[in-house]
Amino acid sequence: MTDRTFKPQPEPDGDVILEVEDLKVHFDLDDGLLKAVDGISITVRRGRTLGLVGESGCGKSVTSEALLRIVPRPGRVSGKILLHRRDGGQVDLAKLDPTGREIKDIRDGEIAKIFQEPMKAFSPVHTIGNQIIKGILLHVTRDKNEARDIAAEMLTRADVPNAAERLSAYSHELSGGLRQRAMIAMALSCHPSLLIADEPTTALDVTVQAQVLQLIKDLQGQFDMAVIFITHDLGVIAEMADEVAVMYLGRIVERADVDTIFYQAHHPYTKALLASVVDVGREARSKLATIEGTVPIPLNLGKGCGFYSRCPIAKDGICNREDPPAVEVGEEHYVRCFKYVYPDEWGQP
Amino acid sequence: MSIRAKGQLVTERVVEMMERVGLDPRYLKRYPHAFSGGQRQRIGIARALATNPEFIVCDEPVSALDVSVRGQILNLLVELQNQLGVSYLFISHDLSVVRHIAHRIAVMYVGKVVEVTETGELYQDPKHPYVEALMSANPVADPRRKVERIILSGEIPNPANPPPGCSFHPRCSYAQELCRQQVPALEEISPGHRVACHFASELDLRGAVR
Ligand SMILES: Nc1ncnc2c1ncn2[C@@H]1O[C@H](COP(=O)(O)OP(=O)(O)OP(=O)(O)O)[C@@H](O)[C@H]1O
Ligand code: SF4
Ligand SMILES: [Mg+2]
Repeated sequence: MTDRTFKPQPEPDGDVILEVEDLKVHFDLDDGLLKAVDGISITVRRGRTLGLVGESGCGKSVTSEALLRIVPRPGRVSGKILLHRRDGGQVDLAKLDPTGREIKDIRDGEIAKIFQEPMKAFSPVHTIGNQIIKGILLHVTRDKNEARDIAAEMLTRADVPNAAERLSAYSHELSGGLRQRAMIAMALSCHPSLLIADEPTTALDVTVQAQVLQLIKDLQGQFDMAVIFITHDLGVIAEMADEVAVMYLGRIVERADVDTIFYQAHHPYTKALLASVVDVGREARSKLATIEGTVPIPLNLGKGCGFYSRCPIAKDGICNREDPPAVEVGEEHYVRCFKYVYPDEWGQP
Repeated sequence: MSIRAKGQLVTERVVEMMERVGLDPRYLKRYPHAFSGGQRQRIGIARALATNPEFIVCDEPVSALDVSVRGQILNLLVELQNQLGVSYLFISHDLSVVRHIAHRIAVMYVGKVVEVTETGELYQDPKHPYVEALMSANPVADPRRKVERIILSGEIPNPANPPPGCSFHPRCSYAQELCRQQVPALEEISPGHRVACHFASELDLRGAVR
């Protein structure tokens, strides 16, 4: 190993809300061990957005489930999930009992989540208002009238027209875009310090998507929240993220600020992803770059780089023997690829 | 011809189709669920091609696919068209994908075509306010391109109960009294370019590419 291998991250400053270190989520299944998330580290800061991007099955949603400790059985969570709490204290969420009081207090109070499918967030048998108010009574105030006012105000802030009346609506009575906004209102009604948005606009029409993205940005500014924005859409990432973590097969293969990811990507997978984007700037009907094969299932994986089977520059005997470590190739720019561990092997001393 | 000889011919044709769409013919005996999303999409295309059609309807053929696999399928569709001369009706909600594949585009809103023209012209010089908003809302994978978005207000109306006049008027920033009252006809404003907007030839709208 050269001296360019893993350097510890810089000391977290006061702005850090969440520090995740070596997070793993493994499922012991009948046909073997499925490593849905396998040792990821991320830092999320107040007022900033971390974009988590990757193709289907790379572990984005399981990561978000782990942060809230809602991973279904038989998933096992390990590693460190350090939340800097509002009262100045710290707590390692990975150590908490997933059914205990403390995590329940944090869920929806300090960390809120919005989903791709807003139907999932609301119960069909209670009004939207009752569901939003319930959260507020749990986390913000015990006064029912005040809670009602807060709920109506949040809906208004989320651009839901006739907010006071909508409180008595059921989720199925709203259009897709409105339901999405009601869910955002509910998620933010307790002023969380961290919002996790898991593909919140994937099911929406582009014009409605633009509305919802703008709304998330506006509310993030108003509440000074940290946001983890999960998507497979590089266009949405370019628009929303300050920092980007690129996931492949349960690992973060590259992490940097958004400009660096789009203009100075180092990892072969990030480069291939960017090259395969169909964009209005590209010559129509020109041949698109592709990545051979498909994303494997992270079941019973051997040692070595997860991208080995599809990587155009993979080297036998190096890439398929050990897991590549994270190398800092620039300030706060980390890459997991042996090319940056042994540059001479790739003819780049 | 004997049944066996016919069977032989069919197998040959299937193998040819599989090769044409880039599938290993050794997969011939596998069931669809054992294939990945991209492979299943290729099987669908092979099946559509098997009868030598002149025209294929592709309904959101790549929307469920990952970016890395989507490129493979789009390349395949372009290549097959160049080789075989088939026509496609390509249905998609992804503006970047239709621009890549289509020669001519019709944009629909609440059950009606609002604009139809050549692809290049649509992206450079849209004439319908909804199309302008679509172009501006389409996220671009470039953090340095900070465009000013047109954020439409309101929701897409229910097609069973569309607003009177132009269906787009409640969300349109250029709407006038006329738009609330009269349904605009799809009219030709230049050769091959048709638009359903009362003010199509007066408005100066922004396109996606300059
Ligand atoms: N409850 C579970 N039990 C077993 N395996 C699971 C479970 N949930 C997810 N997985 C597996 O973990 C891996 C990661 O899944 P995850 O849902 O996090 O993917 P994702 O990145 O969110 O993908 P998508 O973009 O399709 O939503 C996949 O291989 C998936 O099959
Ligand atoms: S470690 Fe090897 S296989 Fe993995 S991305 Fe780098 S070059 Fe490719
Ligand atoms: Mg997911």
